[in-house]
Amino acid sequence: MVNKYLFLAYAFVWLIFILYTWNISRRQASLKKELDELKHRVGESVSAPTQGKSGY
Amino acid sequence: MNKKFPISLHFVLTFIGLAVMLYMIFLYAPEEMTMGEVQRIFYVHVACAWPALMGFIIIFFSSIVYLWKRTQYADELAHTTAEVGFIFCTCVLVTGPLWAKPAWGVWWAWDARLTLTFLLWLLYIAYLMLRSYLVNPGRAANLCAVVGIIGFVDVLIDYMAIRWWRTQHPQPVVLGGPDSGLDPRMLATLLVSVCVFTILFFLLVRIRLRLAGIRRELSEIRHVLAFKHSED
Amino acid sequence: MSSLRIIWNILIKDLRVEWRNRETLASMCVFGLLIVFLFNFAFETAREETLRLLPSVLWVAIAFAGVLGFNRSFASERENACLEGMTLAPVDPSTIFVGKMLANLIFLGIAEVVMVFAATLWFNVSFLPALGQLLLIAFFGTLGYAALGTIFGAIAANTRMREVMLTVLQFPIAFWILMLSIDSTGNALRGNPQGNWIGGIARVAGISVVFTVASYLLFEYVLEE
Repeated sequence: MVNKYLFLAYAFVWLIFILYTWNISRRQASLKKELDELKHRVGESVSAPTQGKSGY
Repeated sequence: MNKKFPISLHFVLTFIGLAVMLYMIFLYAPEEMTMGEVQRIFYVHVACAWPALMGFIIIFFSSIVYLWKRTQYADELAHTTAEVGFIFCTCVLVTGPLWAKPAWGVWWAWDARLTLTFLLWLLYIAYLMLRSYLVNPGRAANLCAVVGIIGFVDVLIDYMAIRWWRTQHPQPVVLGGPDSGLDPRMLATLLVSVCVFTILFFLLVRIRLRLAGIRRELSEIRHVLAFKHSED
Repeated sequence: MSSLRIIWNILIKDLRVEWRNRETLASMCVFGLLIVFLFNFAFETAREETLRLLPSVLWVAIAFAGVLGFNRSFASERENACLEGMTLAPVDPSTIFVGKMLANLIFLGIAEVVMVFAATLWFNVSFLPALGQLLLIAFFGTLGYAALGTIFGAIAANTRMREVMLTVLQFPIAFWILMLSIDSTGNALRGNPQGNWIGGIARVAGISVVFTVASYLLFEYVLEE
């Protein structure tokens, strides 16, 4: 049986890092959505090919 | 930097490092005589403390670079480091009491290092709160750089003042000095943990920086589009 | 115009505004008095304990009353775009900082006199035996506190919920100014049982000067657009 304080310490540290990574990925997803929306709008409103940045 | 050391390689390196670190902490390092296995919290505790402190040093230097050269990258780096440093500082404050309870019998004692870490944590909170409360984003970088610099001056003052403050505080428990009698295997484990967590710190900073980069490019694209619309 | 002249003009302007509406100073004094009153009533201390608790009570009251004043300091400048006017004037931004800081220092100093007077009555403690030392501690402690409050007040004026923002910035960073001032004040009131009273004051003064210089140097970036 592992000491409960030892277990709790490591569990919390892992949890904090996992939550932070999840938070970053969520923010990245919302940015990607915004980017897709923007691409879509550019596609329908501008007929001439724009010199935009692509590659995401 | 991205060309020479791709983020995927950094990722792999961090994972290997974490595996080695866990092996050393739980299987390689010997058990401490008086505290028993609880002492193994120490490795992750110290390994988080170093990046938490280093975070504020990076904020300080990138704030100076921003005010001097006005590179937007320096501002993004400061913001990113504050976020990641805050995460590490939180880990220190969570593992600290969990180690103090079995070792000292209390969850919290205002000992020198705990006080310093807590003040550092408050500084991170103040910095991040300022970031999120600013009304005019155009001035955000300037104001945050000023707070980053004064905050670092405060960290330095903390280190001096804690020695002046009612001198009966207990000396650091484990790392008293070179002759504190730390087992060489424990020392090796500690060094590896600190290195691995430093690598993890930079990995998180890079991932978060990429996010900031995408956000900046998005706002640039929006800017160009708005300009085009006004021309039409 | 020499910079001393500019500093003087800003200071006089702040004092004159304050003289006309008496908002800031009145609220600082009343708030400080209330804190001293609450603690005095709640503790009902014996003599020994009084000397131990009084410095903390006073400095906590000073800290809160100060934050109240610093908030007004730049918030009032923003109301009619006065700050933009000052920024556009061809003067060194650092002189604006010094002028505002001196005004804050004077307001907080007056509030301190009121609080100390109340504490003398209610806690039944005389500050006269150690008056010289206490004046030095109060001056240097207030100087550093007001310098930080001035620059953070200017920063917080740019945010939503500026009262909260100022407090969150001010307390962790001014922490040691307050703590070391409390320590030195307690020593002075007890007649310096450990001797060496110069050391305690020198530490408060050192930290305060460092923060004052740092705020002075960085202030121009706060006003910059």
